[in-house]
Amino acid sequence: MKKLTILLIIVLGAFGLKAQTDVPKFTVSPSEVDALTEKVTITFDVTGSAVEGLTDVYIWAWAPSLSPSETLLDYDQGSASWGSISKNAKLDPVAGNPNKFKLSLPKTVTRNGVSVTFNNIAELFGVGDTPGKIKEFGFLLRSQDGSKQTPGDLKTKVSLLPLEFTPAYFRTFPAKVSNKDVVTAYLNLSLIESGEDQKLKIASKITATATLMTATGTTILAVDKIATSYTSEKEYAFTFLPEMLAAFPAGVSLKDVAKCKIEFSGEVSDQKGGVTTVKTKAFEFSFQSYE
Amino acid sequence: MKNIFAVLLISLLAFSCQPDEIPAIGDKTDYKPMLEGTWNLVKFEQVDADAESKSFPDFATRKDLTTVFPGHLYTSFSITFNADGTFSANKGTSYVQMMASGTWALDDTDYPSAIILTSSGKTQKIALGSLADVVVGKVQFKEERKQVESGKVKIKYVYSLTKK
Repeated sequence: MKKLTILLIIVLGAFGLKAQTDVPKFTVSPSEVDALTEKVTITFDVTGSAVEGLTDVYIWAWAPSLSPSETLLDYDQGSASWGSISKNAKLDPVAGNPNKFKLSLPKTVTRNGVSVTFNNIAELFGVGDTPGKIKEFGFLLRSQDGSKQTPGDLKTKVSLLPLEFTPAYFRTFPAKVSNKDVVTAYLNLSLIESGEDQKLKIASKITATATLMTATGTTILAVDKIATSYTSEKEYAFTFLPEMLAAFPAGVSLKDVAKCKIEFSGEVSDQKGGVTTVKTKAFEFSFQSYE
Repeated sequence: MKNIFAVLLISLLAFSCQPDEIPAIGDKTDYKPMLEGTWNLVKFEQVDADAESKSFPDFATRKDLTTVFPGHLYTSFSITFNADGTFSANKGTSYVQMMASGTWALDDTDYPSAIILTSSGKTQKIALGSLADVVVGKVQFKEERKQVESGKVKIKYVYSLTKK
């Protein structure tokens, strides 16, 4: 009986520990924003996270590409300090739901005795004049004294639409698409990432595998060995219409398609005449809701 | 005699200062007869509206999809607008999504900006590009894909057609 109790405590403790480390869920409205988008609202659901139960929840946000990286909400003057977060970083409660909080722009605060209005994310990070500098920002939610916090290390982050075109290892055209749109996927091997199999740079016969998935990541269908073309921009590309990629399984329709995963592969010949297949990582993107 | 000459001169000057009569404006262009006939799709393009608004390079803004699907060329699409108000569309092997047949009308007879297709109680609005080239047998249809929550245009499809 004693052993059973100990086991139960361990199991419950493990579950308790998991709840402590849960990342907060969040939604950004509109769903696609760039650094200059106005009227942005981020809604946080802290259910199961370390800050659940707090009436005052603060946001600690930083943009890795900036220096200083912290949002101006987190400090009133000088530089940001974990131990003395500004009251401006306190999130607004969502009426009727104690586990939900929000940050809405424009937001007017008092910094160092002066009233300041942040109209967009660039201004929130002090780069209103050079908005192209911010590509994404990470955040964690915390108590005022910092004794409770959700995971950091960019476990929760908001990626922004680029303001300037930047060549990338992988991209789609259009950059954001719905499941009813024609999609072109591009792979630029001259920008291969360090974690990838570097043999890809000398690979030939580049083909692709496209997988359509539900919102929960369940595979609906996958099509492999899709031929690619080599473009004038030195990218491998293939174009598809999700609806026409392949026949949908019974009971599943285009309405169920929420995500797409793309993998490229190629062949590398060795000195003995053998052929090895090399693959890229899986590039995943979500389909947007367009009408 | 000198006074009479002066009065005559002043009168002539006064009359010459009368504003010219405004010329009559021609009849409003009736585009409906110009749109009647069979139109073949010759080019089908996709535009990333966000990239366009930020002046991204052309290859990251616009893509010609006309022949992108071998065996499903967009050039196999055609549509016929009949004088009796009916239409028929032949999608050929293309993936164009358009009503197959029904009736057609302009949204505004004087200043049309769209063609309204109707079939079995359902309507499809086909936005028109500039009508300046209709007289020379060219027209553009435009389809816009909007973000649900903001209503912002995110993707545009441009159909360039020529008259058969």
